[in-house]
Amino acid sequence: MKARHMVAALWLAAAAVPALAQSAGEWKGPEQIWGASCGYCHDSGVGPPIKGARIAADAITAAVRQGLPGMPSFHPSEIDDRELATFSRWLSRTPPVREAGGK
Amino acid sequence: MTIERFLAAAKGVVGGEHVVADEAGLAPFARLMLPVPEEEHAPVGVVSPRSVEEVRALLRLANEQRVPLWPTSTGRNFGYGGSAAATPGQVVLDLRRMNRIVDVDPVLCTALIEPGVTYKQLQDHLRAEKVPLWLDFPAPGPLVSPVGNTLERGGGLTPYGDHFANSCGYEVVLADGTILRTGMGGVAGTTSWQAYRYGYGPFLDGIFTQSNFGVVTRMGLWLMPEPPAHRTGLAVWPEWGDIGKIIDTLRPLRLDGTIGNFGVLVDSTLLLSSMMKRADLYDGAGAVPLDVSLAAARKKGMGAWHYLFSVYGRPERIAADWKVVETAIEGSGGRLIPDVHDPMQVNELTLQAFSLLNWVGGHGLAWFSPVTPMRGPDAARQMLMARGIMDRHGVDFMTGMTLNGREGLNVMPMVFDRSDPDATARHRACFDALVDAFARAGYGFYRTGIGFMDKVAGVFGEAQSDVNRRIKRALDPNGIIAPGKSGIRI
Repeated sequence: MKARHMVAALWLAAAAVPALAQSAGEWKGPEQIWGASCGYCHDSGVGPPIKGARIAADAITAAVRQGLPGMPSFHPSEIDDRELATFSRWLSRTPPVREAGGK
Repeated sequence: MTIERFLAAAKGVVGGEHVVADEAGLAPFARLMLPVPEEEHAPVGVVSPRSVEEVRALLRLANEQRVPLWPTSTGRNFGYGGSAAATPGQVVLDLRRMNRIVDVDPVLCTALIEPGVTYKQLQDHLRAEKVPLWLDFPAPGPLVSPVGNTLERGGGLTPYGDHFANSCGYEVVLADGTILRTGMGGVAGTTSWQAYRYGYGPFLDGIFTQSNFGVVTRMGLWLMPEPPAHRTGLAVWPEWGDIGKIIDTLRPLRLDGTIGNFGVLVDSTLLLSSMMKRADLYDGAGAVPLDVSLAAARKKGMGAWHYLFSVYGRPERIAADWKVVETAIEGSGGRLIPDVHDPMQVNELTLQAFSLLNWVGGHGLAWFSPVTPMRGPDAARQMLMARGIMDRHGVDFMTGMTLNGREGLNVMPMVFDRSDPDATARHRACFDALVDAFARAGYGFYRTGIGFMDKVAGVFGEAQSDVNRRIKRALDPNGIIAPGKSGIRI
């Protein structure tokens, strides 16, 4: 019986913890968006490096919403307008990534 | 106009900020990589519900106004249609906001999730909870959803690579608002929804995959216990003509479980696409010639065919299995490069496969995906047929074939510059010619994109089309869920 209770407790513990939600209105900030999406291409050589490229925030917003050749679009249900505006400002001001300094 | 009435009423259900109806807002939902015109598939609206109740309310409105809804999870069916619909005039039912991880059971190694949960979100959750379970994901892993990929019967590269086979228990909203929980989910207070797939009576999960019979709002998944150890290898064979021998060598190793995962068998050009751009390889007319591709691959120490696979388990088992695999590969004229790294085979999310889109630039991509019976002569015949047809259309031959014991999914990416109308037309004509030729030879397809769904449905015969139509009429008499999906209409 004891083992059964333990198993049930484990199961409940896992179910009760809120998910690290990643839809519109749930992002903790630009870094989380970068890590969950952009970085997979733009930190890996699949897409061009854009951190520190001083791209205008408006251009970033347009690219994220509409997509570019080779880059998918990100819909409002995934990142809402306010999150996207904050993200674009953040990205347009990030310092360049130094080759030897890692990500 | 019924669409306008529907969208106005939908705002009352989901909130105005979760309805898209303006031209600029809709443009990204119409974006296609496929070589078919966007206007033939463009959605006329997007609604993004947050709950099953909102889905039911939207289905009720859609029935009243006779407005077709095209359900998507993340809408990233890259190279198969993205968010766009099989026919024009549909409203995207975007389920991305429904992203609850309802349950994770670390004892039975299962999860129950909503359609908007991405592989990234689920992996972050498992890691935060220190639950040692692996995910199996498709190439666009971090950005897409287990529900969407499983419903398309997509695949990955670990032992859990057949996503449908590792799904268990669906919650489906039917067109009339009925909520169906399949399998053991029908039992009041069910204890076993994610434990046993079949339930009692007919097993229904499959009819909700690659179909339009309902809107799946929850899905159970089986997850792989983190293995104690694993080892990945890359087998290389030098000659294009080795293909039959390769399949006949690998089939027994897959059938008896020595190689525990699908792995992927890659030709020289697909391999080169991960290392260089097309323009750096070939600037002549037509498709990249075989000898050019082989010479470039050999210069990099590679060959004509490359099989990237893993063995998983306890170290002593891995040592024994590795020896068997190595002996078989060397016996077939290949050589085995040990201890390579493929993130997709070891639970590391990546988008590395999409360096493929840098091959020519311009984001044109269509997957031609015939099923190959795992016999050497069939594989050899398919490769020859495909290369011949592609050469005639000036289309580069590439394949990344996943291998099961009895079948391989011969997934051939056709990559082109979609801003070039001539290239787009050639790739479309080539796709049609490939479907015709393969069907005449008795081969079918595991999946296809919008624009080619009616054609591929035709390959599977009138009886299948008719039964699908009869089920559709019974469950969705107004035909409001995704008309045209897999060629199915009322």
